[in-house]
Amino acid sequence: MDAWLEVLGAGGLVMVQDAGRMGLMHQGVPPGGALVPEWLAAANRAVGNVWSAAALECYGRVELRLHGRGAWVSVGGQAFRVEAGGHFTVLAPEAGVVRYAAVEGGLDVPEVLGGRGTLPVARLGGLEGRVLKGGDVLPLGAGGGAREAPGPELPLESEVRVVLGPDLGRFGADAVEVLLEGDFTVSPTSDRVGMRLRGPALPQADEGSGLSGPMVRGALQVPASGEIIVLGPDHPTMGGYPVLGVVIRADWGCLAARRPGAPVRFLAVSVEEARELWRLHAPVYGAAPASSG
Amino acid sequence: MAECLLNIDLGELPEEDERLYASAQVANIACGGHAGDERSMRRALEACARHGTRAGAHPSFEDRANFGRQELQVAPEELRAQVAAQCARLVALASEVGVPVRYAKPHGALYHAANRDPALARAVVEGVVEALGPGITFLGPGSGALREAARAAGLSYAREGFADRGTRPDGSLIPRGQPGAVLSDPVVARENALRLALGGTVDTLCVHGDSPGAVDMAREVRAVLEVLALRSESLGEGALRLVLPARLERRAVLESLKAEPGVVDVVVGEEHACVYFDPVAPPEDPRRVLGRLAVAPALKEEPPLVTVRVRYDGPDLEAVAERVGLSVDDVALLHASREYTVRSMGFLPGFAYLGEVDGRIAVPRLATPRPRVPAFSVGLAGRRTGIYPFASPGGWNLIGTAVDFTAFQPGSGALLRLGDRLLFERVD
Repeated sequence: MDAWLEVLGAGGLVMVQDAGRMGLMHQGVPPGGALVPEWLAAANRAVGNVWSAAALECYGRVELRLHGRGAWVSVGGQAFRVEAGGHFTVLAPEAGVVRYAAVEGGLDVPEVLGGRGTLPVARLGGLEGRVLKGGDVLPLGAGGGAREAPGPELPLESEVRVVLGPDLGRFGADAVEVLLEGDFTVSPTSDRVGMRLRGPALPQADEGSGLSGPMVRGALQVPASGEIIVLGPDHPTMGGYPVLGVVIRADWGCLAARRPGAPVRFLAVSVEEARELWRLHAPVYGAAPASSG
Repeated sequence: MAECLLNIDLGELPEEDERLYASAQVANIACGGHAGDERSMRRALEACARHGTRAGAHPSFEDRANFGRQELQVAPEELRAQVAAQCARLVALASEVGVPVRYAKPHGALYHAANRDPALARAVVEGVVEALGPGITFLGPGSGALREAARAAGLSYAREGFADRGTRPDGSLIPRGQPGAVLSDPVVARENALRLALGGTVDTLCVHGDSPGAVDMAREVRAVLEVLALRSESLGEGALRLVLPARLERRAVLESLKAEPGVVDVVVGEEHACVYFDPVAPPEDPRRVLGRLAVAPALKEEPPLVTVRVRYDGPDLEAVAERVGLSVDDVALLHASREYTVRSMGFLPGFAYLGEVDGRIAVPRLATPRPRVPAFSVGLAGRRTGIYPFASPGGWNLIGTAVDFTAFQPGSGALLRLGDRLLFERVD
C-alpha cells in the first residue's frame, strides 16, 4: 500500500460507497450504492475519477489524513490539493443529509460481489463491511484522470415524481389523492434502508396477509399505519406491504438527500415520462450510469 | 397484449373427452349441419356451464355424410336460412341450460367457401345475426369475405389461427389429406401457438376437437396462451412485475428471465416475477420469454439437498408450542421431520423462504417485530420457515438456532438457490 487515507476521527456515520451492486437481488442482495448518486458522481468527477469510484459517504464531520502521496481531494464536489501527510476535514452536511469525500484514484478497498460499497445489513463491502472509525486506513487507487467541473445543483425542493402503482387495488379509493395533495416531511427515523415520511396517513385496504413480493429502490411502501416508507438503496429485496407508487430514478437522489424535517410533495408521471426524464437526467453522471436497481 | 383465446370445435363426436372443455375458452358447438343433435348440443352446453367455457355456434353446410368438409352449391338465401336454423336450435337449448351463445364460427367447407364468395359470406353472417343477435364475436379467417361481411354487419371479429394444423413456408395451411396437414404432437402445437399468438395477426387459436391428441394439444396451447395473457405491471420505470401462475416452475422462470438480453436482475417471489432493466432500454416483454419457457421447459436436474443442524432453543418455542397445543418436543419434531423447498429468496442476503411448514405448527408472525433477531435464528411464520443469515429486525417466531450454517458468503453469495431442498436435523 503506497498511498492511503487515514480516518482520524468521525463525528457521525461514515462509510465507503460506490455505484452499488447490480444483478444480485435474486440472492437477497439489495442494489446498495450511494444514497445520493449525483453527489457521489460530482465528488468523483472533480478529482478525475469515474463517477462510480468508491468514496466516503459522510453523515457527520470527518477528519482525514492523506498518506504516501499528494492527491486531489474533493468534498461536496469542490476539489482541492492535499499533499502527502496533509490533513483535511469534511464538515458535517448542511444542505443535505450526506456529503461525499472523494480522493483522486478512489478508495481501493476489495471488490466484493462486484462492488466496493458497504452493505452494513450483510456486513460486506467497504472496510470489513462496517462503518468507519478513527484509526481506519483505506488504500487508494491510481489517479491522474481529467478533473471536471461539478454538474448542475440537485434541486432539493422540487416535487418528487412518482409512477403510480402497482398495488393501487390494495389502497383506499382516495389514497392517490392524499399522496398527490398531501404535504409530507422527512422523518428523522430514515436511513439507507428506507426514508420514512410524516404527513397525512394513506388509507390502506389491505389485510396484511399478502406474501412478500419483489421490491425496488424508490418504492412507496405503506404499512397498516398508513405511513409512507420510501425504499432506499439497502432496501430488503422483498417486502409484504403494498406499493402505492415508485419514485422515478431521476429523483432518487434529490429525495434521499433531504434532511429530516424537509418538505416533500409528490407529482405523478407516466412510465414513458419517467423514462424520458431518466434519459435527460443520466448525463449528470458523465459516463453512462449503471442502471442500478 | 390483448388476450388471445383458445377455441375448440366440440359437440361433434359421441365419445368426447370433457377435458377439452376445460382447456377451451370458446367451444364452437356443432349444431346439426355437419354433426350434432339435440342430445350432443345439450351435453356440450352443460359442459360449458361446468367449466366456465364460452359457448359459440358452429354452423355448416348441411352434409352430415361428409362431416361438412365438402363444398356444396347452395344459394345464398337458402344458406342464410340453414345457418339461422342451425344457430337457432343451439340458442333454444342454450337458454334452457342457461348459457349465453356469444360466438359463431362456420365449419369446414363453409368456412372456406364463404370466405371466397362475398354473397355466401353475407348469407352466413346474416343467418348468424338472425339467430344470435348482433352482440356476438365472429371467428374466422384473418382476411377475406367473411371478415368484410362481419365488419359490414358491425360484428366484432376475431382472426383465427390453427394451432393443430401444419403450415406451408408461406404461412398458408397444408390442405387436409396431404402429409403434415393435421398435427398431433403437443410440442409442435405449442410452438405453433406461440408463433401465431405472438405474430400479431391472430386473435384466437383453434384446436380441432376431433384431431388425434387433441386433449394434450389443447392443454398445452391453453398454457401458452395463459402465460401470454399474464398481468404485467410497472414497478416504476425500470421494473416490470408479473403475476405467476402456480404451474410455472420458479427456478426455470428465474433462469430464463435472467438470460434475456437487457434484463439486469430478476426477483421471483411466490406470486410474482419481477424483471429489472435500464429504463431507456427495456427488454422483450417477459411474457413472451415465459411463453417460450412453456414450450421448452428447462431440463430438470434434481435440486441440491442441504442439511442444516438445529438446536431447538428459540425464545418463542414455548409460546409456539402452547399456541398450537403441542409439546415443545413435538414442535421440534414436526419442524425437523420434513423436506423443505426454497420458495423464494430475499429480504436479507441469503435469506430463504422455506415451505411448506406442517400445518399443525403454523403460527402467525409476532404482533410486534423484534428490533434485533440474532444471526442464525430459525424462524417460523405461517407455512414458512427460514434462517436469519444476519442479525436484523424481524417478526418471525424464533424456535431454534442453526449450527455451523452460513447462508451467505461475501465471496460466493447465497448458499441456497430457488428450488433447492433443505432438511433440518435436530441436535442438542
